[in-house]
Amino acid sequence: MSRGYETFEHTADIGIRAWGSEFSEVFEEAAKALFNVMVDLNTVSVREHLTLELTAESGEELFLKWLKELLFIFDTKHLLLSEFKIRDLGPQTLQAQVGGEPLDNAKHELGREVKAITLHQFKLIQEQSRYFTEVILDI
Amino acid sequence: MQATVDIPLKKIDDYRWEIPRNFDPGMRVPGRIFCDEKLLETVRKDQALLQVANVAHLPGIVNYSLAMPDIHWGYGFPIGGVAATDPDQGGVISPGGIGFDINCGVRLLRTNLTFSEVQPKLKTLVATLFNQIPCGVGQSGDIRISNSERPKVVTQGAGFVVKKGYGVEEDLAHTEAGGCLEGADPEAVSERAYQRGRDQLGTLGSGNHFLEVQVIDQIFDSKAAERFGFREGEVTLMIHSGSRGFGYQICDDFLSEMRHTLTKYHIKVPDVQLACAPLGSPEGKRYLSAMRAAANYAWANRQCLMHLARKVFEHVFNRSWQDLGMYLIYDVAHNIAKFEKHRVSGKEKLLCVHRKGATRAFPPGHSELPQVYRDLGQPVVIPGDMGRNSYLLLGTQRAFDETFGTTCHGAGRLMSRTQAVRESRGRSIEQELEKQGIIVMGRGRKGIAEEQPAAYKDVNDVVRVVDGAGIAKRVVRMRPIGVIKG
Repeated sequence: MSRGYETFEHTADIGIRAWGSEFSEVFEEAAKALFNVMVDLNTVSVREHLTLELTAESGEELFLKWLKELLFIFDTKHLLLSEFKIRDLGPQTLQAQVGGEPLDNAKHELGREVKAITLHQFKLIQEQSRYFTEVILDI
Repeated sequence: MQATVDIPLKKIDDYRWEIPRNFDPGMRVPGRIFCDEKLLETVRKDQALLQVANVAHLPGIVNYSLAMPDIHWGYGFPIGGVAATDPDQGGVISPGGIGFDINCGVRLLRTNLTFSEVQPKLKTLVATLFNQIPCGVGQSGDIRISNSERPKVVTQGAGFVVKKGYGVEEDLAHTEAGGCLEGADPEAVSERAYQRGRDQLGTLGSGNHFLEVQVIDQIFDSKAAERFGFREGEVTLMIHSGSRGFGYQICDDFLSEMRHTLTKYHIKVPDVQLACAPLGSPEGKRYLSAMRAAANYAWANRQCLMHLARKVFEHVFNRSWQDLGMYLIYDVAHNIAKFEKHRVSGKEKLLCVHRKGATRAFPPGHSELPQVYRDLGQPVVIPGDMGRNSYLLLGTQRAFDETFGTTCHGAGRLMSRTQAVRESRGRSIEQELEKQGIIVMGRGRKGIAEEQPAAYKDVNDVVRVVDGAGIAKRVVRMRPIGVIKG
């Protein structure tokens, strides 16, 4: 598969792995992987949209900032996100549209609380024509 | 998982192991691990021992880089790691030595209720606790702090919420540091942290956090047990939670910032996650002020959770919490850094003690203990998994002399979360526990599977080591009968 995501094991926490043939795809797939740790994405409808604009010093910093921003949105707005579209991705800027719906206990079974995006064994690499990332989430 | 590095260990006695300084020329002190042969087998499976050696590189570290028997792999520092740094020797503060959940901790309450009085109402009690105490991912609490109250919560901690009516003064005397660290600065905290913490006061959270109704099932020290008002068959209540999103964000903010201070202060560490700053530097001071704010938030949070739990007991048993004897025995922090006086090469020094997944265990006579416990030593509350046991121990002089007055913090994980879910496929952990007489309620089935007893080391093994090593002594053991998980 040219793009996708999965989770992997870590003693007390959980890791997410995402890949894509474009750099923007790895952003989108990692975002899905992050929310997939919290909830079954199939149960999240897209009823609200948000536009995000982020800047950072490097592509790597931008990637981390993106994931942290999404976690912040969930934690403060209690909005579950399932759709992620990177509209524009420069070396230091990102523009995206994300969609989802507010957390509803009757509809969503939440599994894990993600405390933080960590740098523990963090990887964001390009190998041939593929981008690949591994991030460990603090649970 | 990465291949493990073979770490040379020198056996000192049945409970003490040393990583010699010559393992790595960058180590400033040796590593010392409190463990026995049995637990060492699991400790060796991940990279926790390498992390003990890495921590020994921190500028200003004194005596040892320490590890408790419940040690496992963390970020930079191992969970179960302890390090003290000396401000006069270029000592540093490292956010990774405290962890994301700043002042995650445990509190233990006694009750006058016996198991036979609670048992007929157990299901109602657990269901009411579950409904009344916000727990699980993304759940808001009813206890809101207004913008004008923010600085008060973070500078006054548990004392502020007691003034608002959530508990009594006496609770504060039975809380480590009186439920408040001095030197918290509301201005050192980012707006993002305040936003994440806005509706999370009085919420349990998820992961390994819990609220448990327990029964005392074994007494090791009858004299001390009597002083706490503990008898076999009596019911206790334990609460495990921390500083929630507020603390996670503070840790995250400073980890990012301190990646740059390593270069600025020419600090060499073998892992970027040991990012740190000198204790006296502006960055170090600001982190300490923000970390204290999060610690105070956490004490306020556990105080609110206790208040909510007392209300539930009052409702279910139709008696006041005072009449039910629901007094706080003690509240301990197990993810924190504090300035404390300890002896280094025979001289008393003021040190910054990092405890990450480790509990303070001060000896009898220490001036920081409340008067009522001063002759006994500090109560140390150690939670286990939801199917086995938890403990009350007491701090010792030996802990003060050898581990900066520190002991273990819990069972420590054995299985990864994914493995735990895999192993519970086709089973109902709730039903299995109910057969053992334990009622468990949680928001998600996955969460309960991940937290199942088999996912943890046996806390009895961990506590046997700290008791055997003399860095805490057992008073009573509890077993769970009702568990609320996020």
